[in-house]
Amino acid sequence: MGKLSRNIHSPKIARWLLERIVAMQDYSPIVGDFEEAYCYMAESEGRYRATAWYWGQIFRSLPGLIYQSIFWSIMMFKNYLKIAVRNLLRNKGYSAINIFGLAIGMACCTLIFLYIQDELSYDRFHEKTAQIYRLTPGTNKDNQPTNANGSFSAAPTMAKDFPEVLHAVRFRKMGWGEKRVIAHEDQRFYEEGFFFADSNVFEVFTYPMIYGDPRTALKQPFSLVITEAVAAKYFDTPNPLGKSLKIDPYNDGDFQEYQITGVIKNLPANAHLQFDFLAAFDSQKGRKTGWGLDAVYSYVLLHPDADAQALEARLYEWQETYMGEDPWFTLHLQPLADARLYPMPRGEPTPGGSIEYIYIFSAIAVFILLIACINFMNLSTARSSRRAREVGIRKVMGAFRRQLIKQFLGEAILLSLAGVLLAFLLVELLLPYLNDILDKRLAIEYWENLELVAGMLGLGLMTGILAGSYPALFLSSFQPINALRGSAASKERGGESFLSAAGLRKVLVVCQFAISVMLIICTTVVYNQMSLVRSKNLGFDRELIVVAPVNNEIRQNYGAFKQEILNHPDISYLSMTEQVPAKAGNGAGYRVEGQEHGMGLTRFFVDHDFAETYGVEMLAGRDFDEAFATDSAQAFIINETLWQRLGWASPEEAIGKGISMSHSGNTYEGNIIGVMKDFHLFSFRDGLSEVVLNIMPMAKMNFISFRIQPREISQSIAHLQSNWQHFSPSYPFDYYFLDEDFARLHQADERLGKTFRYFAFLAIFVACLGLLGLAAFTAEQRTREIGIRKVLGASVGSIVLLLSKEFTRWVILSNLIAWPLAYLAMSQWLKDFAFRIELGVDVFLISAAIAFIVALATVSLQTIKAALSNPIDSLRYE
Amino acid sequence: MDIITRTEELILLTVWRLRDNAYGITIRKHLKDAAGLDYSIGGIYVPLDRLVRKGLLTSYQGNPTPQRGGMSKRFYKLTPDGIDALERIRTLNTIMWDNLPEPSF
Repeated sequence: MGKLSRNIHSPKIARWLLERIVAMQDYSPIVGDFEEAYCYMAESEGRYRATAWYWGQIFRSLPGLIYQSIFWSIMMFKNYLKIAVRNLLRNKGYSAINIFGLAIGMACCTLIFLYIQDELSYDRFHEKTAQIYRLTPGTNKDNQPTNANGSFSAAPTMAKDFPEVLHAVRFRKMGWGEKRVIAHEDQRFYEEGFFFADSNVFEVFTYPMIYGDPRTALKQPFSLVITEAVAAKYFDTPNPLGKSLKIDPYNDGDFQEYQITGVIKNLPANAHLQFDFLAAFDSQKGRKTGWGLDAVYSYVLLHPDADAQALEARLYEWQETYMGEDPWFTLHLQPLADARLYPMPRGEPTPGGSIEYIYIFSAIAVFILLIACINFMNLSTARSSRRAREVGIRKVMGAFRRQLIKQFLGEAILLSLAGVLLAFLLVELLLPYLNDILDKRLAIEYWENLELVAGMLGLGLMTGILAGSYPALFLSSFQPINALRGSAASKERGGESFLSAAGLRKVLVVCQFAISVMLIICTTVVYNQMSLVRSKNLGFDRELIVVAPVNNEIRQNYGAFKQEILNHPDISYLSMTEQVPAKAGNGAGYRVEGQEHGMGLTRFFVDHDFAETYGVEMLAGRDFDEAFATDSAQAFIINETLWQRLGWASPEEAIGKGISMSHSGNTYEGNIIGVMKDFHLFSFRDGLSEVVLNIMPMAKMNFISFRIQPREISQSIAHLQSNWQHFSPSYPFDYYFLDEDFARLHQADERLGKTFRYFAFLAIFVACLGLLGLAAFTAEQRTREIGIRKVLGASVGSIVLLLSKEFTRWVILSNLIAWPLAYLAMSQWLKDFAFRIELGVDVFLISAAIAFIVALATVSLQTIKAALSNPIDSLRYE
Repeated sequence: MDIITRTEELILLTVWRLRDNAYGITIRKHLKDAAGLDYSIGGIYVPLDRLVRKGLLTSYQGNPTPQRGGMSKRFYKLTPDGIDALERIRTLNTIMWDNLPEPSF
């Protein structure tokens, strides 16, 4: 080959490229060939030609080389995969615990994510959501908003007076949850979602209209916009424009004809205001203005640049120009997007959500995921120490460290991704149950929820990398000679460095258990609080009260109707009221003798028999009495809470004090004749409100309540039904039991409490899975020790004790961490309930005991097995 | 055993001829000079590897030389199977050529 000089070298870039291309295999002969050929050519034909040739050669070689490197990397991958699968199958139990635990964790996390996503999506489908605010009056002392419903005049007057208020829309709900009769030809239905609305509703809110003109649909009185579903229910054609429905919005027997001028798409489930019928606001009978609190929901659309807070600050002063000095309620602006998660205590059109639950569930999701990931890491690292020999062999066979790292990381990622896949499967499986509990329609749309899918995969990948990085970095650093010198040597060598890994594992297990204990405590507290709510004395006998909406046919013949009803031996009292407990919300302005300021209090219009029907007792003074003619107009009864607020030393002191009420533009004056014991009108979150009772004319009454004896209830109901049909043939008898309604009031809390229980259970389950795996691993590592101990005469009991001791310490430590945290969290949660349980030591001790028993049972499962095994087998082990 | 292809036969014969000096560069050069087969430097390893996998060739690492930039050579050697395969194809050729009649057109 002639005289070759040492200093001729091929172009660096080309050579680098060459080495990259053949990097997967032993590349030195090929690169060497190229170098030699280059040298030879440079000698004979000059460097430039040689360089050109070199580059040409590289491009010509590319296909073959690429084929080669792909071939070999596939071969190696096949080998890694085979080893990974063999490892999985050899340790079926561990693998199952590992993958399944991670899958449960991720599935829980996804389910909770879906729930939170749904809650946060409320009312965001409107194009102008950010500019829409809800007017929320506040009637309490501390000037916080309390009511979702407001007054007739406030919103339109605001639009007139403030230039930044572009539109004001009001929805008036008819009645307090009682249904309205709607008729078409010979069909009659009871409908709930009937509202009157201002004609500019479609300019503020985004309700896509299918038929009709959104700008003019509600302009004319007696025009009606319905949803698609309603159109399908009443009419044969999809386009019912111009047809009409007969509606009795006031339950007074006066059916009015409403012409259909628009059909909108069905409302999405994530809207806090749900309706099926919108009638023109101007069609309303009677009063359409006023500054009292009525069943009117008001929304304002602000200019994009408007400052809502500054506007809110000016409202009180502005109110004074219309309501006189010292208005009895304050007005607040709540962003529409907050309406769902920050519901008002009173008058919400649909049961609200709660921001606290969003926080609580987010915390649970993070906790469960944390537990699952900790498990995964603990088990992976614990198990990997058994693979030192494989690492040794691979190194001797020429594996690079880089390759080993890749192998172990890849294996961990493979496992975690399998967990993610299983998690998606679990989500699909569990979603119907969750929907059932929460009464939602959650669904996982993979294409629309790409960030969720990507997040899950990313999380899986991260867990895999975290779990795999320890064995990858640690094991690949073994000296092959040490790793191969037998397991004892490798364990010994690994011993000290493993100390830190084992230490880390301990810390993680303690964290895990602390979380579990916290969840047990929280679940118990939530459960106890909910039982308290269920059994709490409301101040009246809710089980025995049947309620029905009242209508004009009943009002007209009330005397005869009452007579007939009371003929039945099991029906002792009946009473008409404006509102009923659990559906109350209306207030009025009051002035009481000796009080400086006017007060916004809950009004409660009743008739003479209210106290008997509901079984409420008097604290002082007397009940309304038909013997006193003045009682039906000038007598007021206040409740215990109000008496306390008014600051009189004894209830008797309140009797005879003057009181006046402004309602619907009229002022009613009179005296306090009695103080009534407290009874609950609202949810337990709000506690007792300050209530004033007085008798009003029958026309104001919306509900009739019957007190029945707890004997043969179906017969009593049948008696009510037949009389109702006799006196009120146009209206079906639509009754309910009062306790059902109260249960509904706390349904959200109940549901979430239930969900909370399931998730807490799952968290504890996953934590126990991890503990089981670790216990099994520890027992296995000490197999020979156990054998020797047994040969030397140790009893089964002492061995179980020996193996359980460490776990016991962990559980105790985690309890000490969990207690203060759980105490803080739960006292925060309970703070919101006006009536709450005491946080006693018992809850903590019981939770600790549960955690301890579960942990011990889990660990014993393994340790007893280990302790019972024949020492011959264990000594022959390895 | 299958009959090896013409190319494989040529490569095996080249390795045989080059004896202790059969590595990428020399094999490629000889194939080009003697048979006009033009393999690229990397490309020659594809058939060589295939023959190694078939068991007709073995390879071993040689010593690095300076003009190879410190890279070692990979030498190839015929295995007994490789020699068998060549013998078989020679016999086959002889049989096929033996006693052929004059070509007639």
